[in-house]
Amino acid sequence: MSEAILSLRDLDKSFGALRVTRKVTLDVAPGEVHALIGPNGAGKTTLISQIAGSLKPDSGRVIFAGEDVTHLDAPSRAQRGLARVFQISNVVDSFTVLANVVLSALATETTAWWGWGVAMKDPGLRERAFYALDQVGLVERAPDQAADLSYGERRALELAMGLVQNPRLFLLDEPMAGTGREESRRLTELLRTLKGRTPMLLIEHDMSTVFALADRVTVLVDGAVAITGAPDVVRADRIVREAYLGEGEP
Amino acid sequence: MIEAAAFRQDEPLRRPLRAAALVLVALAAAILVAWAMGNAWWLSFLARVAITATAALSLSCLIGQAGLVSFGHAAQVGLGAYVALIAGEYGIADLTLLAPLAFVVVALWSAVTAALALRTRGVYFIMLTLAFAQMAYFIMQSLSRFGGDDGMALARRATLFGAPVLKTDLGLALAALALLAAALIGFVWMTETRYGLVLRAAKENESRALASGFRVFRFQLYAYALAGGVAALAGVLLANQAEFVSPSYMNWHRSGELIVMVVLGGATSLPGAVIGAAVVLIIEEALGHWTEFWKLGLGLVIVAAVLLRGADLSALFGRARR
Ligand SMILES: Nc1ncnc2c1ncn2[C@@H]1O[C@H](COP(=O)(O)OP(=O)(O)O)[C@@H](O)[C@H]1O
Ligand SMILES: [Mg+2]
Repeated sequence: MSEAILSLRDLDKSFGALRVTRKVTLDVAPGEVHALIGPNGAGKTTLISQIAGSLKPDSGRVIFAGEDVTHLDAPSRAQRGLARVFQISNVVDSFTVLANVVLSALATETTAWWGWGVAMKDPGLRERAFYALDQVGLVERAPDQAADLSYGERRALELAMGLVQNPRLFLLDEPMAGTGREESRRLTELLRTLKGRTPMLLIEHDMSTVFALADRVTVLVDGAVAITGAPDVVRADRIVREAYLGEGEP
Repeated sequence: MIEAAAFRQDEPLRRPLRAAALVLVALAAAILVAWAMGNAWWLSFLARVAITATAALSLSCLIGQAGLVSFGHAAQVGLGAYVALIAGEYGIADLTLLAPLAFVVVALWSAVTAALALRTRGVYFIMLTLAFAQMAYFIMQSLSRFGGDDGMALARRATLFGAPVLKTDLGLALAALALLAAALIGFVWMTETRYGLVLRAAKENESRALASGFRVFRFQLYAYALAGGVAALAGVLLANQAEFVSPSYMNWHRSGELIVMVVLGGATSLPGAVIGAAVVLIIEEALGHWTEFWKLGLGLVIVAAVLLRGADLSALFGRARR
């Protein structure tokens, strides 16, 4: 597993007396879709935040693409190729859909962010943005304000904002939560097309989605890794059925 | 709002640039009329409007574009005035040297103080900007060699390439107008560049900007330094108009007045700051003549403005609450 795109080593994090991450060690292999499941409050989002850099672990290490990024801030990690889709949609509401994606595209431009030109008229940025919007089926919505999008469309927009950066690892925190069935189906389909190209760490509650997409599944219970393994193995595991799938012993 | 968004999409710059042009043409026309009528008082008043508007504009860039509510911006203006005074004492009075000097000195001061203030947010940020402004105030007050508490007369008005362009009221008014025009068009343009896009995104949603890979701190630091530098240029002109500089330029209520101007014109509208500055100065002149309590009148106007366009104030304080 030394080739892993992401390695967590003994991550530990407490909020006061509440220990939300307990000695978490986890690897995401290149090209892998790694699902992270667990009951509400298990510490999944907190773990993602520590990977993305918006929260610092108390101890342990985060290694991304062979580099120890434990002490880097969130922007630095994003520039190294970590893209995050938040559990609660996080876009710039007053911007248009297109402007949101252009903004995101800017962050990874090699020419950086200076220049006198009008950003929204930059052909290169627009092209990249429209390409990403097309992937998530939002091209028609490009001129609309992000605030006017439906919940599912906002998720799709955030996905496009990640895609446009050509991330080396996608952190997806319940990307399907709150979306309609049709949107959810489309997003799952989109993630399937990304599979193999972009590694993903996917938090998802819908088990059929998880088992359809994931190469491996890690179950987090009370901040600790309960089990990691192939979907079938995890599904069959007794601890998981009890703790998470809600199928207590008869 | 949707319409505005679609507009922004197609021609992002057209509307604010048109508003900017309108404001500038109106001011230019007023200056010409005052000059044609030989009304020196009006001419110098209009110069003061243009100078103050430039200061308010640079603050508007901070508040409305970057989301940084500074309660110490008058210090930046005052420091610019002091650069003019002190440099003048050492024989530097040509704008080719004086203007860049004032800009750089005050931009540096702004950057250093912002590097500390930007580690906080909301009310703490506001309080720190006020604290740094008070610091500047007391430093200048303690410089007895340059007038101390009483202030000091400028050695002489500044020149441009040796020509005494600021000598006459008209020259000063036109110089102020030119500075205002450059600042207004520059700032409006800036909001649509890549840098401006990031700045506005970070104002509205900092965690998004960070997660996307932008070091928000740096972007805001540059904005703060730039706004300080522009305010300093306004300060240089102010010193030349009054031919006198004193710590009172940096008084905290002057900073408050600048905020009022920005909010009055609509915090997110750059041309609006110019209008806000004009309105406040007109009220001050109109009411200040016959009552000490002109600020009461100003207060009433602010209340009216808030009632009419409450969104702007709530945006301001919504930011402050975070
Ligand atoms: N900033 C915080 N301060 C204190 N407690 C927190 C904070 N963030 C999350 N928690 C707590 O940590 C636990 C794990 O939360 P979270 O990571 O959001 O779980 P999950 O995403 O698995 O539902 C919860 O009990 C939550 O209340
Ligand atoms: Mg969560």
